Amino acid sequence: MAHAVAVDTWDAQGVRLSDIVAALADLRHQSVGKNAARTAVMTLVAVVPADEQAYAATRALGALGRHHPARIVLLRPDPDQVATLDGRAALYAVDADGHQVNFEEVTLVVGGQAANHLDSLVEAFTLSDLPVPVWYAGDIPQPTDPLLSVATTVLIDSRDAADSGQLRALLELARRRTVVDLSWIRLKPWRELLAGLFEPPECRLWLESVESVEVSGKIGPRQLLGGWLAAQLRLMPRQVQLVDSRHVEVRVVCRRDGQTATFEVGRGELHRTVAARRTLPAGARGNPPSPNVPPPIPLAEDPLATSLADALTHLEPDAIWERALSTATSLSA
Amino acid sequence: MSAPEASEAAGTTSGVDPPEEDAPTRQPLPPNPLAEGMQATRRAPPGVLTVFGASGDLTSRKLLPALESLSRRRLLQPGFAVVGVARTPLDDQGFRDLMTTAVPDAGPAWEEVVKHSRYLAGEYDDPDTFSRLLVLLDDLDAELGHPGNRTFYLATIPAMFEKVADGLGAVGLQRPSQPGAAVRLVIEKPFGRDLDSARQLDAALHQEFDESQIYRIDHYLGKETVQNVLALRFANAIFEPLWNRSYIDHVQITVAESLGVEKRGGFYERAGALRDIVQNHVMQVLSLTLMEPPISIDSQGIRDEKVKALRSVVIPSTEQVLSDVVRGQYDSGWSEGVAVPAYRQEPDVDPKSETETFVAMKLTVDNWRWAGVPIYIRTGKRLPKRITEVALQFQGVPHLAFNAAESRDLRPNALVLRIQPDEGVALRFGAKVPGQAFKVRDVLMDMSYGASFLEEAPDAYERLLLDAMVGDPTLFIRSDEVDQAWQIVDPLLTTWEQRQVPLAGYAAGTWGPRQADQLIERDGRQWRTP
Repeated sequence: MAHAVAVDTWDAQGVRLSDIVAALADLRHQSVGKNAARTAVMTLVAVVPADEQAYAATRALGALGRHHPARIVLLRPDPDQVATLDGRAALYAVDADGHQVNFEEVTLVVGGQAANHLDSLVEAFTLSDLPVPVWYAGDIPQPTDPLLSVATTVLIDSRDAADSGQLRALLELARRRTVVDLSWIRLKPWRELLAGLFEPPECRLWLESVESVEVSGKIGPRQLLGGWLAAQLRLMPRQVQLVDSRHVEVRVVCRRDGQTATFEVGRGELHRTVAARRTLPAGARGNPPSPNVPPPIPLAEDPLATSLADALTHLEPDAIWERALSTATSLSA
Repeated sequence: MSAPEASEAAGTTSGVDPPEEDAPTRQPLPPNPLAEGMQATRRAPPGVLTVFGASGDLTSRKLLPALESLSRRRLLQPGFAVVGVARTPLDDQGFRDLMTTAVPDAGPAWEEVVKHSRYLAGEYDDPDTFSRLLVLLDDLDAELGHPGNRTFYLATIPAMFEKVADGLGAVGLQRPSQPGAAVRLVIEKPFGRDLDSARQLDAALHQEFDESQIYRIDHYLGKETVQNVLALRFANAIFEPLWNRSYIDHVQITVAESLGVEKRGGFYERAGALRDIVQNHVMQVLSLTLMEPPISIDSQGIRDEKVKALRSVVIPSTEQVLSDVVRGQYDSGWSEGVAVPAYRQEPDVDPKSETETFVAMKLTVDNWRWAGVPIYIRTGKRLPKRITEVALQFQGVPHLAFNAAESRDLRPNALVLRIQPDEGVALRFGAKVPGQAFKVRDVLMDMSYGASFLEEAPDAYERLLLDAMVGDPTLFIRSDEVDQAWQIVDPLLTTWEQRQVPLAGYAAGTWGPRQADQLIERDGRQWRTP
């Protein structure tokens, strides 16, 4: 399926909200009769505070049209700037099985105090009766952020959590709102492969004898995976070792009857793959025959766009993630 | 990942202990807490898929790409293997090469499947083929650590179904080799050539396999849009109250193909449109359209209701066949801008062939919901376009307040379920034409699934293969469904043969013979132009 392309755009600086709403209506009107379907399953609001995040977020949103026809409202808040509102409205088209599907994207650059009240701007653009997931691209929102009031689901990236304090803030948010974590979705290959290593019945027994786990990676992913393992395997915090590293790797060490088995997931030999590995003591009773190691999983070419699309498919609470996050806050980074 | 130490291969190939009294595998399996929350994804259990007819077209064109897609989506367990069986002399590597070339852009997971896969050359009526298969499957289970789950897929010509089932039964392969394992037999349509042969086939299969083990594939049921008939009807409150004789005037089912018989002349000569399309695809779509709401969307709930719906279709008498059914055959003509030959001039077709390439018919239904609502069915080759749709034509308003000039372009409402291509739902209703006069005209509210759900839907074979391996028979045809469908269709075959009903000719690229139009026009109705 083709990438979304801009069919028509409008932009202006120092405008009123009603100007942008009118411009959007004009664009929609122009699309009528062009043999294009207008369809949407949600209004996606993205909050992109900093320039460096804007590029990645915009790129991910551009790819999103291939998965979820949505009206997109991109917010660029800057409370430290003078009070102003700049707006851009664009009509995009994407080819879906020979149909041209149109959808709209609205960008609001908000300066001054209005940047702290984005909810008052967003509702003019939400589509009636459809979900409004709000994606915070860059920062974990404060639980008191007024924009959360319009969100049916909050999308965050726990990779952006700089310390345990932010993880606790995220946990607090998750207790009030449905939160979907893009980092958790990106870590799915590691979780799946590790779970798969214990799927053969004989390997399952090693789960009762976990001695320690070691999780390497940057702070967000390693805390989250460490929390997941500690919660699911009922480990004490001292059994979970977190190591700073560029790449995510997980190692579970089990000991039974004086013998040691290790279960590992990390970078695969093939480019951009995650692979699993199982090392069992030779001759141990009940060892499964080779080669029941789950095959490597290729990583997405565009992890942000793919995880965002995946998140929007599953806009519901994830009890396992919440438990992992809760436990992660008790682990030392 | 750390450097290889004592790798699994080194640690385990010699590490399989014989079962002991207290062997861990005999204990209840503890749950895998790391898999918690991931169970929503259905995966095929560990096992082996054995494909009979492994060197054939269906395997290369449909089954292997579907399996590759399943492996890429990680819906096959590690160690999953395919065993190919066919008469073609090939070795394991030859079959693996075939698996690789059948899916040129395969992902890395497919390599794992290919690596484990094996081939067995043999005749289907030779007991030795099945004895060797038994040994091979036992070896594979031991080698790959599988619990004995086996799926046998018969991608052969129908004449081989009984032989393969007999052969499997003769060596005990129809029964699980280990406690808790599942053995399933998947067969492709056609299920018999008529009612008698269908019943014979059924009896032969049941000699060796229980009905719960038999998965009869009609790939139409694997299509998302066919399943969407269920979603549209039973997930929306607004349609179901109208879905009955009080509001619906008649139903039209169209299964049209623009192509001729291409290279399938030999097959088609033996089949014809009635056996090839009506007995299976049309009857499936018909039963989903007519059925009552099931208690639950599961295999028993849905299939019970489908059978009930088919049972309520009036089995045509000889007189009804003669008056309410039209059989036709295409002449030469123009199709999609190209001059095309008549059916009798196609390769491998008898120049005096009496095989029908077109069927139009009217059925009636005797039940509370549908009494008095005729069902018009039309299928054929070399029609103007490829389209499959179900159209529910609603009754007109009881009193039209507009004068004739104002409402000339207004027709009764219609709800159209487009199954292929351009899957979707369209609702036709009247709307005022802008202007001073009060003119009303038809407009179409058209929903395309492709434009609303941009996610790629699984191919029909991919869906059905996974269902068969998982053990979900909902989208497979049960024995009594096959039987009931044949009971409806069989009188047509019999009457055509006994009365030597002549074929009505139609030019290729048209909507069928004039007699088909007359069939519906005498009831004061018209075929839709899809």
